[in-house]
Amino acid sequence: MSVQTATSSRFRLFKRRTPRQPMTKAARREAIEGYLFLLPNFLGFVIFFAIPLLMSLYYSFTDYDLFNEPNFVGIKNYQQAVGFSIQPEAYQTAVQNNKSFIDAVGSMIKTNDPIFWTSLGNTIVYALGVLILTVPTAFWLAWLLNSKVRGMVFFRGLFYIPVVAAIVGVALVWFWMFQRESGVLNVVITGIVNLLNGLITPLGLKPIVDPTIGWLTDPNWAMSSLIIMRSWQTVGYNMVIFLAALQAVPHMLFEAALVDGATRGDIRAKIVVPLLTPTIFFVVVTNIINGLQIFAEPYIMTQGGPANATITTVYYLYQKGFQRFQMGYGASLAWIVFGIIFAVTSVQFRLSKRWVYEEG
Amino acid sequence: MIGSIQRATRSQKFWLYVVLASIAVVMIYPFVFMIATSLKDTPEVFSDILGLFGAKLRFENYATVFNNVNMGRYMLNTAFVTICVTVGQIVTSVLGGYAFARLNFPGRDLIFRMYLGTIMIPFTVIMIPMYKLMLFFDWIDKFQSLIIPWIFTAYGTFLMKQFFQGLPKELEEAALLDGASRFQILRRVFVPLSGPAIATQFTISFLYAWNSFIWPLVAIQSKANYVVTQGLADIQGGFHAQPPIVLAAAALVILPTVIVFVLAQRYFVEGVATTGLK
Repeated sequence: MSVQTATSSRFRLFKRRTPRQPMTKAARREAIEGYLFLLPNFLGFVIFFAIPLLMSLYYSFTDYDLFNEPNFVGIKNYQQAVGFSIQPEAYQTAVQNNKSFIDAVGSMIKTNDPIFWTSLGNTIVYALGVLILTVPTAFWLAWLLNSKVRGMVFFRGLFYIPVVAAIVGVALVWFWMFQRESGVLNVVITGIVNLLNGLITPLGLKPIVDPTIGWLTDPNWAMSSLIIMRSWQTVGYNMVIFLAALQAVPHMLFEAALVDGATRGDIRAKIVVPLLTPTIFFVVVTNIINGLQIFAEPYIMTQGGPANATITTVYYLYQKGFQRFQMGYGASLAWIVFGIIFAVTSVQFRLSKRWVYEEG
Repeated sequence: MIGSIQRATRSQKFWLYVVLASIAVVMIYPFVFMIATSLKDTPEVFSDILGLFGAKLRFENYATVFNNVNMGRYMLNTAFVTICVTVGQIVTSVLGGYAFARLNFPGRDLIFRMYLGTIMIPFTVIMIPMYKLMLFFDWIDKFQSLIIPWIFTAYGTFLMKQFFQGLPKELEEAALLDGASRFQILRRVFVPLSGPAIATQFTISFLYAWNSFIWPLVAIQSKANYVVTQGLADIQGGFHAQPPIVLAAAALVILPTVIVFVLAQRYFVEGVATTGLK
């Protein structure tokens, strides 16, 4: 089954009914057995998925706070999260304070919950950042590992190890590598800078200044650091998916193309990439879905700081729901995240019809 | 780079290995750093962060993790929860996968489509009501909350269904003629043939259960019932000035999954690869 058929059928929940025929004894027996086999699974699905899902939707329209009965408040939570008002007088003040035009226009928009917007922006930047860093790298790695050379399975395993490591543990290891003073990354950068300065200062060039990056303490860097870390952790996952797809491409295709005088670049661009578009599509969608749910890294490494630079929507949801017990509001945030995931996936499926190659 | 296309010449091979080995260093270094730091003492870490060895190997850091922060208890808790979740998931997905793959009953396709739909919905959407549900069952701060809701897995059921569909129909027809019941067929014919699929499902459940964090954080409150990831977050708070202790604890959390992965690499990779291909 391809990804495409899996989902196009997902959107068509109700099948046209065929006229029902009376069941034979054997068919009835089979049906009963079917229900019995499915029962443990189905009970779990209803109690621990379907019911919470409906409750969550209901809570998102209430002021539920865990201790009191929920009161229905309509769309107030959603309004609080995504709502904003325009305040024209702020424009005048900004202009009088010699702000630029764009800043002045920006200052007119007053959001009801600025932290939610910050968290949403951070989360989207994070998901896209990881996507951009890992997808091309993973594809390239898979391409290399698909060589007919000994030892490729070994390297595949090695590159996959970060995927199986607990995120909380990985976050702590990187926390110590990211330290501004005496962290691994800055010590290595200092070493390289000193080395280069030793080479260029005798030539009369100005020495390079050691940047001493505050990986987790500089608001301009903190999110990038989390993106780098997650990219390191997930590139092996994407690579394995690409590799499996590459291995499914018949080798004869390459050989035939080579005989016809195609260059390697041609083969990659005109045969391999088109054949792999369903896989690329799958990887992009799963990476976005996973990226939008980031929680453990900011929780462990930055607590959302510095200056809310790494607060993410799920982390904000956790704070609202489980630290301040605004569970109704938390539920509405969860549905907004899901709405975005759903929208991204649907748009991707729409677009995929244009760029995904389907066989047959 | 040669990549997928041709047989490699000797110099191409050489450069391929150079590139792959350099990437391998980047991928493995954080683990090396973790182990190296966990065997130093704190001043050694700050004076020579890149050094692989301090004056001596200080295994006592691991003893501190076990004695002062009760990591052993957290590991036992997690192992118990992980085993229950993994076995439970395999049982329910084998039964459900078989029903979806081989039995006809009204509503089957509708239910299956609903299952598929759930894969896209993130856990955070149901987290808040799930907490309420745990309060209702009185499972807050108990292992039940980490086990029972997780025994159902749409993804695992899907995986087993796909696998069972690939097995020849004649297998069970013969057994049915011999008068075997469906359950006997599943147990005696299908399960013995599904070793690789079950192993794949095992690796997915195992990783998920051992590494999970946000739900235990919400559902478990007393330290005696902590799982490893929670214990680790807690240690970071208590020992934030002592990286060797923190990273010794991190190693204890990370290494079990890495070891299982090294032993059963094939199944880990197969699970991922098939989802991408299907």
